[in-house]
Amino acid sequence: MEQALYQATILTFEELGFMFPVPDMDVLGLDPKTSSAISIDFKGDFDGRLVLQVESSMMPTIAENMLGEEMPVEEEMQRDALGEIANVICGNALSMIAGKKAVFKLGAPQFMTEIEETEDPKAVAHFNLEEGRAEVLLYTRGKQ
Amino acid sequence: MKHIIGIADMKVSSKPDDTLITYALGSCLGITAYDPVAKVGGMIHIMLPLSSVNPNKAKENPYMFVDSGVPEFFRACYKAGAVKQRMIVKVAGGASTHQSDKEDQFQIGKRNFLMLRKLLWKNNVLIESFDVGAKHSRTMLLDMETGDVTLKIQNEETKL
Amino acid sequence: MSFNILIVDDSAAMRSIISKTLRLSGLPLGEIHQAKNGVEALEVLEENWVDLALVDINMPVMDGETLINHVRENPDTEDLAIIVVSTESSETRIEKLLEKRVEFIHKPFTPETLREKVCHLTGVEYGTSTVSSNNFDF
Repeated sequence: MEQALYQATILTFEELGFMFPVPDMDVLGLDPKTSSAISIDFKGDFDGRLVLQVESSMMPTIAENMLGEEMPVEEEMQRDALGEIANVICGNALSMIAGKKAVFKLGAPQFMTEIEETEDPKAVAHFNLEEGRAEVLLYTRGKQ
Repeated sequence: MKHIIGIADMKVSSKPDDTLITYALGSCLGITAYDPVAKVGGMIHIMLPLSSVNPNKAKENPYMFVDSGVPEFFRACYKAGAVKQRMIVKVAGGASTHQSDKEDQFQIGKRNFLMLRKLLWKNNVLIESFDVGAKHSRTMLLDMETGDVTLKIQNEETKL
Repeated sequence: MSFNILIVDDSAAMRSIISKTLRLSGLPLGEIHQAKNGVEALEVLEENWVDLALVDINMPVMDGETLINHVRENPDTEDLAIIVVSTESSETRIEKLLEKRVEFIHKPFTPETLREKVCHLTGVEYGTSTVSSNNFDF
């Protein structure tokens, strides 16, 4: 499961964000005060939620890279861009975990003001990028 | 006439009987740009992604780095008469040639190509075709008459 | 002759990436319409001639699959060229979509991949890009 998170995240950041995430052995979580988080709920072979958390200072760069903009991108678009990254990571990670036959329905990305999960995640992946740190958490419910 | 482009070097030409060639692209990138209407184009052989690792070197020779070399290369093509919207861009190299784990960590070849893709995307240029990655070394030729780009990989020739 | 295009995706960033790629592809472009979901897309199709639609699958209000069903059932739009651009990886779902005469691009994609599919589907060769340079360009 962790392997899938690493693979899907690296692929997505490279292709969509032109960024180079390196798996980080430092497992300290990000400080919620200085980071931004997006969640995607999914239903299918199993249900759950994927959370992508990045240092907030990375938000402008992510959006500018994706859109190919040299000009600053407004905040709403920055959130949208991060949401799309999370969406693509989620779709790819789930098929790596559950196989090519499995069908999932992904919800719209939700910008999280605080991380309210009480359960521990089933899998976590940490990354170092030139622009800052990121982590991806996977929560599952029910089956699996 | 045959022009050899060395490492961290570039050449722009408008002479139809010129051939531009660069040898032994490993993790380095070979980039060609060609305007088929003006028959103007060039080739650059780049070593590293970011000039920020050594700004002094970049000032001395911008063609060493993707972020400093590629814009200079494009501008030199315009100066020789090429028009940006018509330019056909092809890329080769970016191999992972380091065998030892420690060196491989840096993945220079992959970073070079990623940096180039970002720069071109931000500057409104799409790559026409590319052959990057894997572990083999590549030789790249640009025919200034036709704009054809040929790759030689382990004695086999292919059109890019 | 130019192509009118409809981009359907709930992400504004993704719509912008697709739109920029189209403008760089050398496709003769007419209007580029955008819609956030299937319902908005049907409204656009009702009122405008569209040659090619790029459609995401997972969207609120009406998803891409339902949209494609509506498009194929309507005699006015049944032959619309459609490219699905989605994170969808399920073979089961992709096979079902391909039966509806659509092309498929998997997210994440590079702009070059998208251009190739669009040019293939429209029969247009890569050509001069229609993006004019600005001061920030080299």
